[in-house]
Amino acid sequence: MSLEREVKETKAYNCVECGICTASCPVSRVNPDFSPRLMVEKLLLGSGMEIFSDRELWSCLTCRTCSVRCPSQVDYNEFTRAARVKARKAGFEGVDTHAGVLRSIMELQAKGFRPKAATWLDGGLKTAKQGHDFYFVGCLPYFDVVFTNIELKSTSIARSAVRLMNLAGIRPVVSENERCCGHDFYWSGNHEGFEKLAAFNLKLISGSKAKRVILTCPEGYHMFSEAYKARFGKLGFEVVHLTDVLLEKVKKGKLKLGRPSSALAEETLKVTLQDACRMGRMMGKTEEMRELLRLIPGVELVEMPRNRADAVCCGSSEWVSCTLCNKQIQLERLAESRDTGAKLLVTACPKCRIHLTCALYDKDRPIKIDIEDITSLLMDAAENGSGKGGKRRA
Amino acid sequence: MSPKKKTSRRTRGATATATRKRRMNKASRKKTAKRAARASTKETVRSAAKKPKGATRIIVFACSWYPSIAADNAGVVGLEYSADVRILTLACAGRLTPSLVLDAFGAGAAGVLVAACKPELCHHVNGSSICERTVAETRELAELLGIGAERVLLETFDSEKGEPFVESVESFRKRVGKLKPFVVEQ
Ligand code: SF4
Ligand code: SF4
Repeated sequence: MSLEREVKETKAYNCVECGICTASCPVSRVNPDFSPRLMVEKLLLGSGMEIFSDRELWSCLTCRTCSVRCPSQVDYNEFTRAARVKARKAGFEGVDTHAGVLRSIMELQAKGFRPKAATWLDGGLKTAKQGHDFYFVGCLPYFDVVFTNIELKSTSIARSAVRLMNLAGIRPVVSENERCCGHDFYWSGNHEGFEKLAAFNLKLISGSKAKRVILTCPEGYHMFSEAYKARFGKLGFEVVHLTDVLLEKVKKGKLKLGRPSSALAEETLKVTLQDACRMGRMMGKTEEMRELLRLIPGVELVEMPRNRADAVCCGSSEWVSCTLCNKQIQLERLAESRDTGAKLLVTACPKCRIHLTCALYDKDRPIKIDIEDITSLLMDAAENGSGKGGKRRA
Repeated sequence: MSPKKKTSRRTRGATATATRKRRMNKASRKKTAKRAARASTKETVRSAAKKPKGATRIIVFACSWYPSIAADNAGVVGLEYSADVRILTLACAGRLTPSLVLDAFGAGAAGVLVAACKPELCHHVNGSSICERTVAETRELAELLGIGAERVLLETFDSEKGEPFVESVESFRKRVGKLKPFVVEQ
């Protein structure tokens, strides 16, 4: 299989062999066998089979640090994706994490199995069957089951999101038949799987008459905003991240934020923010969340040295390939967050939260820091800001 | 671009390619990520779960100790059970993963019975109790995926006799056969 098209599309012919990509790559820092520059060189030599059969093709986190920094605009990130599509066709694939359960779930959904996954909704939350706003929940209900081993519940994010929207006067559509957005298939080279999932979701959303899709997951946000549009053209609805919606509401005074309960005991609650790759580097959204965090009374935002577009990936992606190297990336990032003096590490992506919590889970934890999703923190603040707090359930 | 510049660029490209080639030979270490042994289990699951139209295909994941021996003995004494049942032997029930069970449904199974030894009789100390957790997790996932938890069942065995094995397989198959089929959209 030839990779000529990939050379053209990713502008690999521009490579000046500077090595900035390899020097910037979080994986290369801990795994000397992995080198984006070497891959680009192999690509230019046209040794397709050598690239496909290379185990390291699956080590890339698709975090886009290299593509952002490359002085010659080589899009290595996109090359990884394209090469994986071909590698898969040639019979190679990465090693699934979690014994492949998440891949199996996505495969069944792509095959047409219709989920009934809105079991996390509780009576206090106001949702609708049809309406202007569609809340796309993503894979959170499945994470609850798969990650019981690290005692992590992810649907709390979804509940917080709906509660926040309710407080801000939005009654979102929530569908139990929603499928995975296809992010992991897209980036791990299973393009047919991605297209099937995307088609199912688009059909579902058009049935709900929604004009706006609100997401809490940066991966889904990026997929809807870019990959879906690239594949299916105009979507017929607007795609927004929940923080955008909330920021607007807070600025207009429609949503009031108070001191979150974790900040009640102290003068100020120091927090630091882990930028998600899909949010920061891919969608260029770094300031909205910071603005929101600064608007919460009693919360002080301290930055890690590597932040915004320079933020380090949470160390694992697409449920493929999780090794000691990934763990090392995570522990280093956690140490960086601890060194800021923050008590709370705020994540903006459910998967960052999972990966970093997992790295912290070792019995003899070397690092102590709390990890919370931004949605949950905002919910906490909004409950205490609305004056009706206390009585409401978290 | 001036013609002079063009030539120089091309020459530079040629030398660069030569260096690249040399370096590459040194660096090329055979590292293949071809689907490993794990895949063969998956293939077995897929082919076993394929079914003729209308059949209630039941996949039994059987531990190689009590349940498998019981299944063998059922054959030896000539006990009958439905031909829609396919038995896949695992070295230990602890080897079961949610992914294996879900893939069986993906390949067409209507129900999955996990046959393990009684926890206190497990030949691998805690394989059976690990299996218990795996099945509990899988049932939750099956519920979320619209398959339904009742289509995944764990049975434990403490004898090598064929009768109890055949009985549980047959009663499970009949129960599954009566369930409303789950939705698979096109
Ligand atoms: S940063 Fe860009 S130009 Fe430099 S080696 Fe990497 S791909 Fe080539
Ligand atoms: S996308 Fe990220 S992990 Fe992959 S090669 Fe580039 S910097 Fe490294």
